[in-house]
Amino acid sequence: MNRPIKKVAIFCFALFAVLFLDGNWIQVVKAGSYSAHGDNYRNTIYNYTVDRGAIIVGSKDVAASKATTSSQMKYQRVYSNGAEYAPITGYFSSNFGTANLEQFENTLLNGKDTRLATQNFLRKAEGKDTAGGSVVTTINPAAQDAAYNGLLGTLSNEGQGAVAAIDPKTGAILALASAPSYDPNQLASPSATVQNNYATQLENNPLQPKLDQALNQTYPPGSTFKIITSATALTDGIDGQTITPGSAIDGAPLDVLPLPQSTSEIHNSDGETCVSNVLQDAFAQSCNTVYGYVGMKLGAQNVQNMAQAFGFNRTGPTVPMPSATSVFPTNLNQAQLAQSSIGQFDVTMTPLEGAMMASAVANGGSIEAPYLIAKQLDTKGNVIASASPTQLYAPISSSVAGELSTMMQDVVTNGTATKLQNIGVSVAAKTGTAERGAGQNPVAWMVAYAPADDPKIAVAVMVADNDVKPSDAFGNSLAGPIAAAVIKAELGLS
Amino acid sequence: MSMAASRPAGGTTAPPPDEPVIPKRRNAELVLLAVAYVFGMFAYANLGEVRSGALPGNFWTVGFAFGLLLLIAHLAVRWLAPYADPLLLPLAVGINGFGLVLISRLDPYNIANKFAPHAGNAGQQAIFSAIGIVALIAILAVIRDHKVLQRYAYISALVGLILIALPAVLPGSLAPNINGARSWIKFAGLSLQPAEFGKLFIVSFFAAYLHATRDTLALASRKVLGVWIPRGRDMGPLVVCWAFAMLVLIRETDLGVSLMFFGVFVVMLYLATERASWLIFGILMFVIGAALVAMLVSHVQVRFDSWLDPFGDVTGNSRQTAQSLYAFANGGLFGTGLDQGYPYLVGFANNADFILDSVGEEFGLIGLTGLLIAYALFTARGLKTALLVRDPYGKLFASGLAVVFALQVFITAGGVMRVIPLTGLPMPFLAYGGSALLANWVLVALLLRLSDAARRPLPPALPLTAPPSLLDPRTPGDNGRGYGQNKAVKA
Repeated sequence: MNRPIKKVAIFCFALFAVLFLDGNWIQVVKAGSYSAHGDNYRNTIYNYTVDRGAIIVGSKDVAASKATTSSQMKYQRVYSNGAEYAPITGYFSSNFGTANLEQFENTLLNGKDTRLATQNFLRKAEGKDTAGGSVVTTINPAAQDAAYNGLLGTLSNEGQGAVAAIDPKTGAILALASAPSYDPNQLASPSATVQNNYATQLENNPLQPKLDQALNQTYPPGSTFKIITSATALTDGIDGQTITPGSAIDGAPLDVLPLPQSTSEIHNSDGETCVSNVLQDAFAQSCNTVYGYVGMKLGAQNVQNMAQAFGFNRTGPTVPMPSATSVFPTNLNQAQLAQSSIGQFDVTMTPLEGAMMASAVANGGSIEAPYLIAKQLDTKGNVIASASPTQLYAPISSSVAGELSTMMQDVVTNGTATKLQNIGVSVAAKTGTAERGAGQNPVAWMVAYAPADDPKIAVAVMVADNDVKPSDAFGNSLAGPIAAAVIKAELGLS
Repeated sequence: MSMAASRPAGGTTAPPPDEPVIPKRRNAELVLLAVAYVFGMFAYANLGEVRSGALPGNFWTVGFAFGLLLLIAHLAVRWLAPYADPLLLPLAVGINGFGLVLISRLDPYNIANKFAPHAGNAGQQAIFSAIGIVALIAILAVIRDHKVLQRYAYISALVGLILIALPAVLPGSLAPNINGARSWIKFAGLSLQPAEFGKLFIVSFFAAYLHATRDTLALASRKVLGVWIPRGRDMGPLVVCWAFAMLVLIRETDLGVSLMFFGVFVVMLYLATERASWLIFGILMFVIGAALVAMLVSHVQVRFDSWLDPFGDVTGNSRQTAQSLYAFANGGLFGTGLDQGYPYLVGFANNADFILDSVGEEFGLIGLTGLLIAYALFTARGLKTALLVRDPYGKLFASGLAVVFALQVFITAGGVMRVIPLTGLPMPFLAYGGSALLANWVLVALLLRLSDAARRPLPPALPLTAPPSLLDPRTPGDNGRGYGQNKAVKA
């Protein structure tokens, strides 16, 4: 009987071999995928037993983990100035997941980043909790305060607004504010009831406090788009003739621009008549009739190409959060082109794109990729990665950038951006007041950079507020003071 | 017993060749036992250190009690089964000790969630471990020759079948449906898994029965297309066992018991007859039967569904399969460390059917592999015993015990690791459950007894003139113990 016993022994060995192979399969090969399942409660537990890394602004933690006395949820996420920094930090919620840096830097913050593996292995050996790495942002707290407080001070209860400011030379994001905002502490509350109630409240608010308007919402740019229309004219010329800021645009009407194949006309703000058809003057006065005419002369394809060179119709940059795509419509007829050339019709952009537009002029024609993370730190605070600026787009030549710079400085000294005068630094800017649908106030814009001779900040401020007198709802009056405050804060001016 | 005196032992047969000198290996067993003991106590100390930074309160009491008990067990084996295999006892002690630590580790969760009484399960399991070791000593003392059991073949069959079928026929108050399967009996405050004892009786019966009928089953068959087809009337036992297995599956909805019971029968049938056709028929019948049952019985169907798609209904039907896989995945290669994982998330039966989750999660693939090696070694020593033991009944009995052990490990581990659908068996020695633990200690005792007989040297041959009854002084009158018997049967 020994022969079959030996065969049965082989069979039993095979049974154990199958178990061993299956162990390899589920514990090594498939382990990562199983562990990543959203319904795997271990992830939730893990998130609250790990000493999650901080999100740092300046030298201060705006998001940090505090040890609790509970054994299950060992750490509690705490946000300081939560609402102000919510567009940057996002939230870390047991019921509602994560957003913004909490989401996009999660593997570093929660310690699962492979670069932290050695440190966490040693921590485990010492009996310490797993720790995460930290993120140092590019935000300048002074500029951020100015942006957020400026929005709060300007907006009514029915207003929305956003500020995006970047360093034009590097692309580092200096301020990123959105209002109304929300308190991430409520969404990270240890109480599920608090979380749920707050989330419902946010959902029901028509002003969408959770929406980061600086990155993720697009608005009609209005006259700020004239920067791109001007760039097209200065680059491509009109009817084969070179255009400079001093060129008079022959044939451009100063009061009313009738639109071909259409009954509608383009007027100037408040029905005014422009004083000059010289490009620089029309830019400074934000003359719609001249710019609508210029757009039609340039042709839809040229304006569209320039808009795309500035980043329109291209996936919005990731900072690392993805941003919305700014849009310039295609297949335009002449009437639509005229409207689009002054930033109306179906043109929309994010505040971030507004800041990128200004930074192209400020930085000699080059747009650096905007980024929010300056440094990544390991669990001990050593730097493991630093940002290295890269060029994102190069829409215009440096000579065109120089000409546009002159024109934008003229907007402040002789034109519509009066709120940026006499703030202690020479500023280049463009205002925008974009019409929206009936019954809605226009979207007020200010796109600016400063100092004009050595730019350190490019900023876009957007305010959409329906509870303001329509006569006050202008880019200069609503957005201008906020832009001035952000520039002064960044440059340390009082 | 038909194997009877087909050839009177002795007679004109040449004296057997000298058998190799077999060392008793008792000192090796003592050293290994000490290793297993230290391993268990170290794990227990570790648990206390992790929990509270100090040794568990009863560390020295438990250490002294088990140390003394193991020493007594060792001395008993030295005295009662001096030639027994030296690995069986230390392996069982090691796995049992490891299991106690795991149950103790899971106790706080189970107490908090009312899965365990206020005092926890570990103390109860420790008491049953002690009872198991005492039972081992008692069995070694009472059963001095395994062949005695051969006489009780049909009583074994009756008792075994009753034990396995008991939960199926008892009213729900005594045999509640726990976690979808009815394999437990609740009686006088105790929870029993009668199938655990049943498997021992059934294996004992199969060994005796097949030993008696193997010639008929092996020889009276026709060859069709290269496969030996048994005669219709010889299919009887197979059909009866199959029907019984299906009945268990349907009534108790317990694929584990059914598969273990039928599997060991088919394997032993093959061992007895050396006809692979039995295996083929057996496997086919079981697969077809189980598939039919799975289609017809909703609970079995649910288990099949959650086997095929464990993540389809993570909060519902496939919850335990999914949670089990999550535990293994979280453990990875090295594991989280004792008390550092969340194996209790599998919920009910985390220290019984799913105790392997704790091994996989907290000790990783490395710990799991170590445990599987321990189980495999135990099986291997059982089969080695079957190879060495001299009588066919002993061979069938030893290999049956080893195979039923290996099958139980495979079915249980395979269920929680998703090799096969989830079943309701406890991991031998590791899982919480007093009756199962006791039954497995009896299994160790039987294997020790068998291996003692296997490795015990034969007495010197007597002069050929001596009367046959004197040939084997240990079992006077049992002339079934002829030398070279195997060849005689196979001829």
